[in-house]
Amino acid sequence: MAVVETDVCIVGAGISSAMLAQKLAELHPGLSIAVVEAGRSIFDVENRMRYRDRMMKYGENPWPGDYIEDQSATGIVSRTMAVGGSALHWGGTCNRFSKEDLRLKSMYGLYTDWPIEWNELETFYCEAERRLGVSGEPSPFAGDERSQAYPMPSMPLDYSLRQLKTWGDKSGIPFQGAPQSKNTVAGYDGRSLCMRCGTCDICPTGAKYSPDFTFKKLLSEKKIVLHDQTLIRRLVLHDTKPIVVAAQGVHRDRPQEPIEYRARTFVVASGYTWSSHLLLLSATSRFPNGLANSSGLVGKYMNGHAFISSMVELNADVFPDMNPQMGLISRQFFRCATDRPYVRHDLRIWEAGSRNAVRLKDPSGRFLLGDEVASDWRSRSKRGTARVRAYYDVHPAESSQLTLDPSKRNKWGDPLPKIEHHLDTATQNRAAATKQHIQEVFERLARNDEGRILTTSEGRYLDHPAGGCRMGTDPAASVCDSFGRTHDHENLFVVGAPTLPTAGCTNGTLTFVALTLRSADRIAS
Amino acid sequence: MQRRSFFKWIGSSVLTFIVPRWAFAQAGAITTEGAGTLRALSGVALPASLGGAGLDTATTQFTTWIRNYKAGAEMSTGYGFPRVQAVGPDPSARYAEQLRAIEAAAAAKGAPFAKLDAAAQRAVVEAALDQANVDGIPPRPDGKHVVSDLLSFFFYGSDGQDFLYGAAIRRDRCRGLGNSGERPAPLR
Repeated sequence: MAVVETDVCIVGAGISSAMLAQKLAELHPGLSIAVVEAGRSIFDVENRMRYRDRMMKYGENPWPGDYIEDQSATGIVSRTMAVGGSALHWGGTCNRFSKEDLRLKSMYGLYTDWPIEWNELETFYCEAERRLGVSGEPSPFAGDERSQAYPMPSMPLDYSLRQLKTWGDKSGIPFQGAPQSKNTVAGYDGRSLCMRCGTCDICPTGAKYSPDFTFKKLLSEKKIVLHDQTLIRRLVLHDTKPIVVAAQGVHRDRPQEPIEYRARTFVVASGYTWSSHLLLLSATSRFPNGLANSSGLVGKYMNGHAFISSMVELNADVFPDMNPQMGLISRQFFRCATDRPYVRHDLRIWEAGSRNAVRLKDPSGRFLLGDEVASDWRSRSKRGTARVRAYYDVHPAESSQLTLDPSKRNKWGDPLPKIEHHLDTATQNRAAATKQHIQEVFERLARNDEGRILTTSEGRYLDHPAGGCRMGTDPAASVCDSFGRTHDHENLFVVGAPTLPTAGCTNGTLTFVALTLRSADRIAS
Repeated sequence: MQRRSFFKWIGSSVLTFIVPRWAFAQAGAITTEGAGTLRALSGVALPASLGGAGLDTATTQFTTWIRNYKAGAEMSTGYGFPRVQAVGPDPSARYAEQLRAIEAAAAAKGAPFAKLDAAAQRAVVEAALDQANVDGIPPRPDGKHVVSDLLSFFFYGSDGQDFLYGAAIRRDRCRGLGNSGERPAPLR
């Protein structure tokens, strides 16, 4: 068996891994770091304009080959498994959580508190924003105060968003541009200025932060070794001590050559699905329920936020696709008075196209051809359209879980994950009131400019999923401490999404990164 | 092995292993004659207000799109979609046949399709769509009929969106941030 020895072995190469490796290399020059990733490296920046073109014209995957055929899961998962992880596809939205997310139990008597103080997390938010290169503007709410300004000015609002901001503000709910990890200043971190290509799923100009940039740079500076296409199947414990001594894996193209990574410190940075999965797969006779799992909570409390969306027709001059990934946010409902029924959510607005499709026949059944198609559509589509959405805070039940599914195995024979999301009783009990509140907020928006809600739909899954290795101070009630160090194994850390007790009520990536950067300080020390 | 036999063998054996699971659409789906018919169909199906050059462009872009279509290519795998999905079958498989049928119907009216008067052309197109049971314009070309696919390609594409809104949104381009706050320019 081939053996690779380093100081730190990071399993997974997504955005948390990239940030961790970068910061460790800065804090500890000379530290040897191995990053091991099951998927492949897609470093061909020069092809991204072509990939974008084919995505737009044919709906093709803009990241070809970014998944592993037999490495899937039952439930809502991201299939992306490549160097860069799900953040290859991300839209770049970098919202912060709020203080309330960290104090659910002490403020509202709900679920649990996070084992970290807001002021400390806030400093790591600033660092995350600097490293990711976030453009944004300050929130008008005092509770959102910042210790540092955004690294770059906010993305300018396009014409349509300016109309929609005016519309939203009329309701008395202040909106602003959502912060984005996209360059509004040319050259920030070596990236280009955003060219408003409108396809942030793949940014062809490199203006949006992407973890592959960080890995390429670390590789060129020889700060890390990166082994892609190498699936870690087990973490191996010391014979007598509760420490991890190795990560064993296999190269997907050379299955006959297993490989072992030995390190002083191991960091599982494999996202919300594969982190818990690896710990559960690594069960031994001494830890029959999996590593780091003396609490029995590895894979439990899988979370995310629920969401409700509406399409609204209004009297505003709105054009679709001017900057479709950019949107407006209001943080007004991030907070909830403690003497009121609990409901917390963000509120977003995006420009949208008319919901009216072009028709081939009019209602009488007569064919429409040539200019008739356009004039028929224009006669039905005189008003603007907005898409509004609220991500709202929900709390997981312990049974919201990832388990190993022995009926589904990969080609190595390892059972694959099965994810089920379940909400706790308090969340279920307030669900009707929460939805009614959000519907009333949507209606409040729609009352302006003769708005009319066209459709409303509830998300059928929890978005921005996280959890499975939740952090806490009590080893009986959590998997790791606030730095991601597992309670059971002093040299084993989990970072990023899996450590979150709850997923808040807005996009999670910035929080995953901030927590990871905080972990980096502890790992380096 | 003779050269011809070699290529026959190559074609029957090896290519099945080295050709990816997707394959480019057969450009032969539209013959030279068919291309002429298609251009004439554009004049009936697409907005005449595009002008001759605009119709030429739309038709050429459609045929280029067909030629570069890769049936079976992988589609995006963003979360919420745990199954890997593939681009659907080549929609142009029956275009040649449909274009010939258009010409046959035109011939029955006494002239090539391009030479028929506007009313006769429209009658031929409507009859063809009726025969193919086409009632709508699909969000993506689906192969039911070349005319509805041409309409789909245009109106759901960037140029068609601009045409409908009467504005140069240009979603297929990278447009920069500088003028994004301005109302999109009216189409000329």
